Amino acid sequence: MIMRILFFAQLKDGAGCSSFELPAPAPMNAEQLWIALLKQFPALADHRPAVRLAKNSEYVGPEAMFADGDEVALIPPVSGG
Amino acid sequence: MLPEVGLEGQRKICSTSVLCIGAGGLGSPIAMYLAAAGIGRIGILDFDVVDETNLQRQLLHGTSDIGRPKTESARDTLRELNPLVEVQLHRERITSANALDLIRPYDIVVDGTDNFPTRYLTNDACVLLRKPNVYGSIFRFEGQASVFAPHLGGPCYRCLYPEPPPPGSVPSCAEGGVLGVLPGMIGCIQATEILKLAAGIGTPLLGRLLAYDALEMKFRELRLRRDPKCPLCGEQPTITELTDYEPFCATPPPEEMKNMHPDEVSVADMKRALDDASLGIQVVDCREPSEYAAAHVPGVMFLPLSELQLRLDELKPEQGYYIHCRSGGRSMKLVQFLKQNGFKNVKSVAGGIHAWADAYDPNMPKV
Repeated sequence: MIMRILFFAQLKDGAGCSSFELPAPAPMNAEQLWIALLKQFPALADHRPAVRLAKNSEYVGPEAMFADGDEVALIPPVSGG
Repeated sequence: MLPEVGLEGQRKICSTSVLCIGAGGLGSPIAMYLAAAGIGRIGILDFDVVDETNLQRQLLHGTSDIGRPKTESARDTLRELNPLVEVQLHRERITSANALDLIRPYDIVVDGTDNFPTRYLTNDACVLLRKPNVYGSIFRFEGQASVFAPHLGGPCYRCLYPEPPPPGSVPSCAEGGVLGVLPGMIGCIQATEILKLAAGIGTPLLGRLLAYDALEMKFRELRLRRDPKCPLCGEQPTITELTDYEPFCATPPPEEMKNMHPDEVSVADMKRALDDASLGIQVVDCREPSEYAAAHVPGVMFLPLSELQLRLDELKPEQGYYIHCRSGGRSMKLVQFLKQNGFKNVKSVAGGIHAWADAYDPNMPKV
């Protein structure tokens, strides 16, 4: 019962890793997912307002639900050129 | 001649005009491949001059171009590649006042800028004018590309990120470093999408964002739908005209150094603060650890922008601070953030450690 979390760009610094397996005993919404993530990675709190979530390679909105087996990507905006 | 392109496709490419916003890391491969492919007309928009530190990734420019406007250097390179291509130069900043007039005469816009304010302005102007916006962006070893075009059924940049990130939440100046070849990868994807759009072949990168990780050597495709609540291209748009965002990341060109911003001090002021402790001003280096390790000014306090939120309590609102970064962009952003948080006497060092090196330490490596 796990979800695979992927960190993109500067979130890798905040998390200290590029991916992570988050226990998912029950389906959760975006808010609950963030609470679980921030418990593990408090440094991500500053990034949260700008980060978009993608579930199983599709960007999702605030109404999305996440469950066992999902791959969740955390994607911050980047601006380099 | 590729049968998929054919004479007709090549004709279409030759009659297409593209505005390349930014002649830097992304703009270099984009403009060079478009010129080589025989695109009809290419506009190069860039305000900056060529700096030595650009050369590791900005292949439009060479060592003999250092100090020249990027637009002129780009024109020479493109003419050498293909003298038949019409090159138009726009050595100016894109603003809410000129964006529509700059973009209107072109068929396709390509976003090769290095800062959020210009990205939002480019996106907004393209949506309002119904022009495809071929997007690319990079950070260290990672990059993204997509085609934004609500008029073709795809999303826009604001469907992805509705508003620019709040100051301090994102290292919006990717000055911390970029793998030199990375913009080559992303820029080539952008150039490919432009040629496909121009020739009318293939499946555009519409409604999909391609994310590339050079360290893993992996591409991921993320599906992105148009957001009906998008403030710009949604069903009830709240953005109907262009606005400017604070150009936190703009690197001031040399001629502007004379007219410093009220929140800026010179490197001479920074030296006085370091030499005379009785002034009570602490000099802070807000660059990232790798930059600090490469070169730093002795006696400064080191507080990387990426650690700011965790270490904010080390800064005292009543204390005076002069903050420097690489060239003055990030430190100005930090100054604005601190002022909003009650700091009274905080200034950004104009030109950053590069200006310091020019004035006091010519042997200092410029990273």
